[in-house]
Amino acid sequence: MRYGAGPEVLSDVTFTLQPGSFHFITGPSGAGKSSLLKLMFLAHRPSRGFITLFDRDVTRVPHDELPDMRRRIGVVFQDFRLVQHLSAFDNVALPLRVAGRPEDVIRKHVTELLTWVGLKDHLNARPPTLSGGQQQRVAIARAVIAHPKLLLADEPTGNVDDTIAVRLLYLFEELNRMGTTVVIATHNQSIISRFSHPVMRLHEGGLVDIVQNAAAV
Amino acid sequence: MSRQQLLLPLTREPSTKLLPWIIGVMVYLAVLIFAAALMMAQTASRWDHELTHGLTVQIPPGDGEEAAALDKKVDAVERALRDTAGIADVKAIPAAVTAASLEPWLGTAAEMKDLPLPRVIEVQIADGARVDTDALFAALDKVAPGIVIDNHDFWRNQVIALVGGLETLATVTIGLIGFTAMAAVIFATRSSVAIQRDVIEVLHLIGATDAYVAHEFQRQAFRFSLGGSVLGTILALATMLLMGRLAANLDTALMPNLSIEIWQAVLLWTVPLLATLIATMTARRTVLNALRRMI
Repeated sequence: MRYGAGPEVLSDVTFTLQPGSFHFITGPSGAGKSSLLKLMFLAHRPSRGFITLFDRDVTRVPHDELPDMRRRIGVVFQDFRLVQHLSAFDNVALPLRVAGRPEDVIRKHVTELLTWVGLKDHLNARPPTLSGGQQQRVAIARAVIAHPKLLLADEPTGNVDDTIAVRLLYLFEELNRMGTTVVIATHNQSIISRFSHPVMRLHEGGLVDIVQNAAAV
Repeated sequence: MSRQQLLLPLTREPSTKLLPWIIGVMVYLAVLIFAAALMMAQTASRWDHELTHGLTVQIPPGDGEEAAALDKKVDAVERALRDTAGIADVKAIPAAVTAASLEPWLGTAAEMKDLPLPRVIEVQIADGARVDTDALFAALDKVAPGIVIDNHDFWRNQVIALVGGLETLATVTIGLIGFTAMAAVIFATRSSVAIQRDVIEVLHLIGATDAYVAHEFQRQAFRFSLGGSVLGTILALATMLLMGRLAANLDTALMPNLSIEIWQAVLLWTVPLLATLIATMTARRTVLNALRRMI
């Protein structure tokens, strides 16, 4: 994969994720973690090679069929990418509204989830009035609200303390138990070491190996 | 729970805030021009009807001819006209009335008494009838040699040409107004899409279709263009009402009727509806074109 006419930032990466699996991606800054996730959440198409997602080669999926695939993917962006003029509630409700869910269902589920992540008193708060950690929890809630088949998170615990980070990871595990395939990019080794999930290690745009978490072993 | 905010506000930015007002002004102008064209067509139709159904016969006096002799000729022509098929009414204009109508240009009746003024007969043609003016001239010229028949063709053709030209001008002007309004909508929508590119990308990544994003813009375009159009139309109708009242105070036979009828007022409301439809569809098309180039 390359950005425009720039050099390849990711090359010759081959792996398979089993449905319902849970993986961490780790590596130093610039290793290609975010680029790999961008390919997986269909923000970019590979400049060569192919990616199969939900049994379809994403390089051949027509533009008008991408939304249906994207609705099956939940994404936590590194920079949150919350809609600044919308409340926390409306941000989290977006995937459900886009999917055309009824407003009463949306109200119930969004309120429950925001309560679960500790933001019950901030339903109407806009992102600029929330702390980094609170914004991150809103972003995570938005990613998981529609029960995606695949959850991709780019440094989802970067702005929260370890207690909340572990709690959020438990949320991801809960989703994973319900059948969601989870991939989390992080360089927080202390978090990785608490969970018994395989780790994909990237270095300079290549996949070094996939190892079972040593702590879990 | 607070009221749901607009996801992609179309007119939040300074460059797009004036758009509803621009649409309102455009519709105001378009309605006025359309109304003027309707009134013009109505007046022209009335004139055309009057001129098509009328003839003017002039009987010039012969050299040194006495008034009594001329009166006899007028009577003879009048009788001949009444006996002609297709003629509904014949009315000889008294010499005094002709003289009075010329007073502003030629002076008082006493001063005109030596002038060889022709006698005039107004002829009304029956609805649906056709009168062969050449045959009529040949017949009447035998009764009163030197007779002149004016069927107003020259004047009517001039009026039809003028009204046709003005109607074309009105159509072109309304077209230009529509084009300018569309350009304003395209510019505002493109600006808004560019400014909110990040939000649109997020929407795409969570599974929003292009149609979903376009609908967000489209429904706002519908709302503000409908508001602006209705306001523009109401102001235009108020302007026409005012102009109609001012014109009613004038006592001028040639002044066209500046009031509009109910059916015309109803027809005028097609302008704001059309403007709303065009603005809405333009916004939708513009967004869809822009989205095609995005992820």
